[in-house]
Amino acid sequence: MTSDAPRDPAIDAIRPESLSGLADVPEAVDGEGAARPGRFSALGLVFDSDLTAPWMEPAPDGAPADVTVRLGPVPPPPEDAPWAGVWRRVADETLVFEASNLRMRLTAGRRIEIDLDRPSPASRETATLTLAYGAMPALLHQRAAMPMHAAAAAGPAGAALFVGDAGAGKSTFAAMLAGAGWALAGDDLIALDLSPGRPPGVHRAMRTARLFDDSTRALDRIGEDGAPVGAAISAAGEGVGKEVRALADAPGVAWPAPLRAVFALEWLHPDDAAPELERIHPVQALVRLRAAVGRPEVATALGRDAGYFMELGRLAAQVPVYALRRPRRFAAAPEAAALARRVIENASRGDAGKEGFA
Amino acid sequence: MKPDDMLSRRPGVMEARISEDELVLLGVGSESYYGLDAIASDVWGRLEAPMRFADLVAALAADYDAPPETIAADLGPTLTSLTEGGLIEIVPAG
Repeated sequence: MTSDAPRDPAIDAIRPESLSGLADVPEAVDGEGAARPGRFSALGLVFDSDLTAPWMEPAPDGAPADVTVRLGPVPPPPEDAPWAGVWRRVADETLVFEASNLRMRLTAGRRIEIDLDRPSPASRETATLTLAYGAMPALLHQRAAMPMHAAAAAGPAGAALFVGDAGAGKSTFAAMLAGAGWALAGDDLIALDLSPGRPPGVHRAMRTARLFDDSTRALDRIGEDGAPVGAAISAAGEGVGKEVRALADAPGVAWPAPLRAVFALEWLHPDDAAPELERIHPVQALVRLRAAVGRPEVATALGRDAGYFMELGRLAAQVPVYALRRPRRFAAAPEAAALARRVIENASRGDAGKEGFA
Repeated sequence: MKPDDMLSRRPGVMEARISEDELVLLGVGSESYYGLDAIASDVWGRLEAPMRFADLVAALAADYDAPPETIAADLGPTLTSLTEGGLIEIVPAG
């Protein structure tokens, strides 16, 4: 990346080559050294990909690929190509990202090309994480599919979506529900199913969570008494302090899972206060949801803002949005997560508005 | 406001419907969200094409079965708010 390029924390976080725990990832390479395509499912899409990892969701048999991912040459963007966040818009439907270890090109939301022929090439593992966390938001924008910078978990009763500022606990809450028997829909990046004519839903993103170190340690402590949080698959993010983990799956969830509620995570004082839940008026809900759109600068560059605004209005109209407040101490989080879970379960029984926590 | 003043939406204003009666508008480059009630939403809808103030008043008076003077008076605050929010433009009659 050139020195004047905007920085993308998600991509920065996964650039270091000091990734650990992936030694057992099979190199998807055949005897002649060429990459062997694999198939995985994420974000409501099927990928036919040269890069795969065990923590990716297998694609359903026979499902046609929506997106192809190929390793191969990607030319550098023209110097005058306009920026769209960390991406360069080299044509109406083509974005290029350039770093010292790889170059990526996204075309029309249907094709991803990754060039590892760089001065200090990324490992396949880093390239795979870059694909998962760096490329996908822009790819979704190309598809007008509105990526959300959020975390979500789903159980048989439906899905909970967590939004909030960096460090608000989105990953922790979703992982906590996943540790209590729900499935992690995704973390950091969520794709919603906003198909006309049916209630909003949450697609399975990746079965991984990016957790801050303190959350990881705290969840490990909870894991001693309950379900394990999952083995670390990567230490990522020098200076960001997040670790990527693969989380256990859970049965009984049909994807996309119906979105029962959105929780905007906030802090509460004093430290011994009980968690609070407050339904937010749809206008404020719209504001919160809009703030959670991932990589908004790419959305703006691609002219998606107006369409997303309409979709967010529909979301705010159809799905209750709550402010979920709890003290900063970690021990308060499980009680707050249990509150969220009750909301989801009550909503699935048609008891929305009778949460019984007042 | 004069009868021949022309009212029009400013380009690029985004809209989101949050209920059957409520619309939220957001102007270009703005972070001020404008919630419109049913009547203000109706006004916004009618301004999809530029319109003379007198025509807007007449149309609303007919549909709401109210005297034009009352409609014109009631419209004042709504139009002021929409104008100050950068959501509509009022071009005074020549």
